Amino acid sequence: MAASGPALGTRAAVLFVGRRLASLVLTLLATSFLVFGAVHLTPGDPARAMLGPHATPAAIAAIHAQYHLDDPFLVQYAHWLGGLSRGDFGRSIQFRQDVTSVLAPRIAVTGELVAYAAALTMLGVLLGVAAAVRPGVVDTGIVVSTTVATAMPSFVVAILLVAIFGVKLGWLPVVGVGDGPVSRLAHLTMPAVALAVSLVGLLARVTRAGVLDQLGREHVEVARARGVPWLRVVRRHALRNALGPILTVGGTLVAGILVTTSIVETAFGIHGLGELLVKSVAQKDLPVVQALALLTVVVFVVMNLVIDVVAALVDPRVALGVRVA
Amino acid sequence: MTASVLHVGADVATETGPGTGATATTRRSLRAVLLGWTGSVRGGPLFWLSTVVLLLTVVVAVLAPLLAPQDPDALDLGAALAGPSRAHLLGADQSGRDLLSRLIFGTRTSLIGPLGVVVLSTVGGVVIGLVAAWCGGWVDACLSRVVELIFAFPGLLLAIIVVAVVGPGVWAPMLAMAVAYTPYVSRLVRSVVLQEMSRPYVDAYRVQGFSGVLIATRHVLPNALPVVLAQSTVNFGYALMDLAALSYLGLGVQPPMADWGAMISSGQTAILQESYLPSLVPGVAIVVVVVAFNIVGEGLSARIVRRSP
Repeated sequence: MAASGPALGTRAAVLFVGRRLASLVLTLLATSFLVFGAVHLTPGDPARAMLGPHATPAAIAAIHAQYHLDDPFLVQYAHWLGGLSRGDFGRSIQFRQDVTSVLAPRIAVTGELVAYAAALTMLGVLLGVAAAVRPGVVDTGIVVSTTVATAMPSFVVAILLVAIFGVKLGWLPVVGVGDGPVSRLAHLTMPAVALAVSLVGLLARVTRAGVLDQLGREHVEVARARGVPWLRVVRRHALRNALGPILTVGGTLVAGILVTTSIVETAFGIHGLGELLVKSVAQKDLPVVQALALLTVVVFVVMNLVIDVVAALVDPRVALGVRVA
Repeated sequence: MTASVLHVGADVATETGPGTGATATTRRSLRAVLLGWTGSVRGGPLFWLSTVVLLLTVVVAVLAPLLAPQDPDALDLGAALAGPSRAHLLGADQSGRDLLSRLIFGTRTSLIGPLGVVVLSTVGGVVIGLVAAWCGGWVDACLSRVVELIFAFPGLLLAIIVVAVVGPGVWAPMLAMAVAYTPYVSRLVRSVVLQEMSRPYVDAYRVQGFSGVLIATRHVLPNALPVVLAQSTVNFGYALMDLAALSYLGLGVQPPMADWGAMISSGQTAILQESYLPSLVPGVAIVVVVVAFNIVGEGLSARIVRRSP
């Protein structure tokens, strides 16, 4: 790895972000082409799907004209892209509404759920540090429990939570999102925990390894020999240095939550984007599937870009955009 | 999508592919995770216990018709949600089907899907990674771009889109997941092959006039294979989780076929009636098998790392 000059030179940073944005646009173009192409290959006439089995030939012809369904594939794709750039994702078949107005009311609840789960995921850092600084019973306990947690799919956690806290103890509501902030928090707690459990496990593993690695190094020994308080050594010297990979893995995990919400929202009957995706697949509502797929990939790729920039800001040793040769 | 980040093991070898500075640090630390984690596990009782669990699971899947006490699809509405008894050792589900028998038969569908994913992604990943590393230049550049594109696509999302187009079933999710898992294998193969290529034996064969294809397939590949197989073992567990998630959502294996994910989904309503076993039993089965795959896979790769100089 050949890092030259100051890691965060403004020019380098601008170049890096610029190049990543260009690759983001390319990724999105390729994704949109794949998504559109896949849907195009689906057998059946979209106009018929939209209008139902009793449509008149004239109505079908009108839809064909409106959505350019008789044009060659690439022309249709260009029309669709043009629509996307104006925020027009087409019309939902199951709701007979614009896709945008189907998505809009569902964004908030999914956003809240993802944020809640992301906040819980950060617990993994605490567990990882605890395991690293307390060898013995604490470490073994955390290692064993996170190994199991990592292997727990969100829907298994969901049914466990529902069985224990929803039904047996009756502490938390099982279905829906509730009204008002307190009720909303109560409703989203189990879904957020279901999303976070396996991620906490993974993040704890990464943190533990990173901090252990740092604790074994000379600079930590020097800091301790000079009488720096132990907690401060762990926080400022070990954890701070291990933060790069923790951020990268944590960010990727959080970006991934967006897809897992489809499972958890279905399990808890939350009408968010994830549940919409599953419903739309079952209903063959392809315009909605297209829009959600593109949206997810955008968030995923942008999130990865943000993580790389933040990792470079936190850790000056990481040079932006340096390629490993 | 979780899949794309769950593959901690994908970074056993020092990756040399395109990436940013931040990922360079990650790689080193992930390697440390792997070593640190399995240090307490490799060769220990946990590793062997997990191996036994996996072997037992395979035996159960193969011998399902002999082991299952009853027909897994036999309905008996009178026994709906019955608790454990002599007739139904684990109780019955909401249609009165014997839970133990469905669990045993579900082992088959739950293993065959991930097996397909792992075999296809391993073969595809080995071919792509080997070609990319061996040919280098524009071939490598093109293949790496394609791999990056697939990385931008969470595996679960890819499978959901494919199901939206093709319809649910066993095959569509399996093929989609195989595509989604291939980059992890190809990236690993590429880095291991690049390492191998810098070793003197490759030059020695070249000097002796062996063809590139022969050296790559007969000499380099066998040396890279153990690492790949260790990774594929870990992938098996994650593929099992992903495919179970799809059938839980009703997008994978279709009822009435016995499948762990689908069983959890159909047993979910019974929870509200305080009948926990129908969804808890397959849930525990998934977790146990995935943990076993993780421990065995990471134990294997720890052995390999320890063996190599």
